[in-house]
Amino acid sequence: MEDKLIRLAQKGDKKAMEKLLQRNYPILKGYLLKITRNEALSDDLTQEVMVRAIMKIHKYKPRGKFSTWLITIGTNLFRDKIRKDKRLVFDDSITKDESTNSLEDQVMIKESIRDINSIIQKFPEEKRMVFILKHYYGYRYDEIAGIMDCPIGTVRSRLHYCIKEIKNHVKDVDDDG
Amino acid sequence: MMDKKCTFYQNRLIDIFYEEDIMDKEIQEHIINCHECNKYWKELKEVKIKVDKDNEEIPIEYIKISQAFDKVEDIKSKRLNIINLVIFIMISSVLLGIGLVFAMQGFGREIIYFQVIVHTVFPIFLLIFVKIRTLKEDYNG
Repeated sequence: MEDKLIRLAQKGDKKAMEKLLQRNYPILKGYLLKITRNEALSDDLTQEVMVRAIMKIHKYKPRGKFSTWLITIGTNLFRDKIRKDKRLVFDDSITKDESTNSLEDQVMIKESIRDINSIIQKFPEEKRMVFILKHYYGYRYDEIAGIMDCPIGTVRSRLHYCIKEIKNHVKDVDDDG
Repeated sequence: MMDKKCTFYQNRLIDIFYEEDIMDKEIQEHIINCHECNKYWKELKEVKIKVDKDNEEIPIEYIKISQAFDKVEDIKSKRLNIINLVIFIMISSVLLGIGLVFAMQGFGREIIYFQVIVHTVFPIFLLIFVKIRTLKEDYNG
């Protein structure tokens, strides 16, 4: 289905392109929100990625998923943004969790998420991107290497670094509690 | 006590955890017999539970998608304007160049006559063109 939409979009079908973007919007926005931790910045980047995708769709070669292409564009744009503006503000207060009933549970979960978020947020951007792509989106090492334009070994070591940091943090919190 | 072998297995456990490696017999046996690695495997699972709570759903914002299309149209029309301007400058330069060459060869008076004719006759033709066009489009305004 997606292949057909891509072919139509490449022929200039606006409706097909619109459908492609609608299908992939949650993945793209979610990814950018996770790496930026900034609602306004992730909105701007999502918009910019969509604009680029519409303009360059005729050049797109379907090797993997369409979302991978969007995420690659998003990753590059985010890197450019960081390079241009090193004073970007990352916000850790955007997480919402309303699934539990008890207020006490809600507060505890929020605290725990905030803790984990603050750890993830402190990772250098490149490591954070690897962790997010692997943990939340289940991309393979080779796919992440393609998205981030780096060797597979680097992807693996970055992920291991993040996991060890989070694991140590969780362990510390449990030991304190 | 954790040794080098455990470090190797724990690195593999992260890969297995993320389905980049398979849990073979060797590592299974090691986890059963090594308390440290067993604990490590359990901690990895705990990390997954804690981090996954942050995976909130993102709604599709249709307005933002259509705004992206509008922005593309804007960019395209700006590019078209720039192309038109470049073409205009090129044609004007060529015509001006031709005019200068003629003027330098002593055809100054002819050029002035030509200009006068163009500036008086062309608007008359323009009026006729506009009239024909409005008749064709059945324009009542």
